[in-house]
Amino acid sequence: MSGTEASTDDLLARRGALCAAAQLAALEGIVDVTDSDEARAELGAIDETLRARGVDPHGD
Amino acid sequence: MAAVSAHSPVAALEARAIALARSAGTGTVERQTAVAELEGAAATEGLTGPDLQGFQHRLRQLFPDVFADTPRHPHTSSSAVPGVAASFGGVGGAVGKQFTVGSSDVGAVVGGRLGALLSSTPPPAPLGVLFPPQGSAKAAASRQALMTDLAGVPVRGADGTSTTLLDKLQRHPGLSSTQHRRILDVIATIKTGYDNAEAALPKPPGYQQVNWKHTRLELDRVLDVAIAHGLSPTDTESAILASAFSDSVKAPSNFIAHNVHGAQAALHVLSRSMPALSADQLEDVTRAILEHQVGPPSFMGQVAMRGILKAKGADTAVVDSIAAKISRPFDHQHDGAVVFSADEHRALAEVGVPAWTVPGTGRHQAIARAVIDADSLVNYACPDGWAKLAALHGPDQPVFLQEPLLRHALTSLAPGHASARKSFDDARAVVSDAARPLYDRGLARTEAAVARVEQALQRWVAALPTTEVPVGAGGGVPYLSAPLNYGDAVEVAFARRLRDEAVRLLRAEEHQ
Repeated sequence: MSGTEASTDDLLARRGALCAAAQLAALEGIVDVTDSDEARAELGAIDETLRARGVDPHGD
Repeated sequence: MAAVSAHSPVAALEARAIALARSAGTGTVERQTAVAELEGAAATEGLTGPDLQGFQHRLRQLFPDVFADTPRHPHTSSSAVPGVAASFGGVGGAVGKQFTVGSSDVGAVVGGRLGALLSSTPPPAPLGVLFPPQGSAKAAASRQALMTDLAGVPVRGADGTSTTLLDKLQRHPGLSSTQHRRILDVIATIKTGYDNAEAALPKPPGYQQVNWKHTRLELDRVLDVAIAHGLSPTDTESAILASAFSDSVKAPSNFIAHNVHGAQAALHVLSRSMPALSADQLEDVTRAILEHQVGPPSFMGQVAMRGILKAKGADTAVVDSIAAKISRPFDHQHDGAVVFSADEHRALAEVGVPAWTVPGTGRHQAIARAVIDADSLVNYACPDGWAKLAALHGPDQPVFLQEPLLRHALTSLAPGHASARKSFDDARAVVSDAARPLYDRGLARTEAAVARVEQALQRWVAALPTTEVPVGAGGGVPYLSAPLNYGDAVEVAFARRLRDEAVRLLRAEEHQ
């Protein structure tokens, strides 16, 4: 998903899903499936790809 | 107790009870745990009738401290309830072990009607420990403490004027004095349950007290929602009780099955409540609790369940299908539960979820929807709910929740991150038509509160010594009007203070 082949919409959606998972884990105190080097690396790769395309990961 | 063979189950249970009475010492929790374990063992052995009554009498003799002042009443004696399964088998363990849930008549009737009260996910603590029998003196003290607590919670009354939660409950139209008394007694028991859970489950610290505060706010909202739904006094009481029990046995370890454990707790406690509920009302309460965990649906399906299934190594296609079905709780349903394929059932069984109940049709329908509405209102359509989410974003939080600006965590609809507003939209999918005006007004109130909080934060910043306010990009205030640089320790330290102030202000807005 973090690769350059994914569409910008898909990357943003994936980013949003990861963030939603982290928020739910924090809210409910449950196991955080994003609490891994792999997940953090995926987020970094998504953001890097988005910025390379001139897209703000936090943009509306 | 009837005469029994030395090798009968009753004799074995009695020997075990004697041994446990000696070994449990004098600690209250240890002795309550022992009684709960023995009651569960009696249920597992299938004790009924005179054997069960005799065994319960023996427990009272051996553990008089646990049963001190417990009123003797036909509806307070416990018995196994066929068809009502508990969950001591552990994740992936046996499904269908039974435990004691209530009286031999009302509890058995309701238990027989509920085929979905199953989970192999263990509860965080035995129900007998969380909700031990209380004598009349303890119950009266608990009720008085609860009334003092509720009298200190400011809320808006049905007419929009400021009042307290206790006053709002007592003035709610149609509820009788008997209902008021029973509601207070039951919620006092639930409050005691949170205290017991906090003591038994020290991690994460404060988790159960957060649950209790949520329960209080949800009580306020369910009173509003009951009016919106036009519920009768009986159904209003049912909605209040279901709402109160819905998160009463909830911890990180059983998040995905806490609805089942809440329903079990309702049967456990309400079967001994006096005056007793009718079987129909107890069934309505229990079904409403079972169905409350559907929201926010995308969160529960695509995030919670997906994460749990993936962690167990479930097949990707099966995970996708289950997540999609849970994300749309009003589709794919039959008789109040999502319809899963055999492969999906196998995957769910691996994570301790034999069934996923969803709002169904029937006598309890409006009650169940009222509970879901009230829960959604508290979490996603009020300043206090957004304050809780604001506190989870920004400095010191996972990188996924480190947005450049405070407002990202609150009002943003950007697809690339989570926010309170996006959770509001997600939960709105399960809010009933009757409560949607309340829900949307809650959003308007909360967004207005956020605007006031942002203005108050600007004043707060202006009042600080300039040396305490770092200059962000473009001359703005980090995390408020300029993107926070998470690599700058000074900016991060300031943003931490700003977030704390924002959370405080949002919580204060709850009572404006």
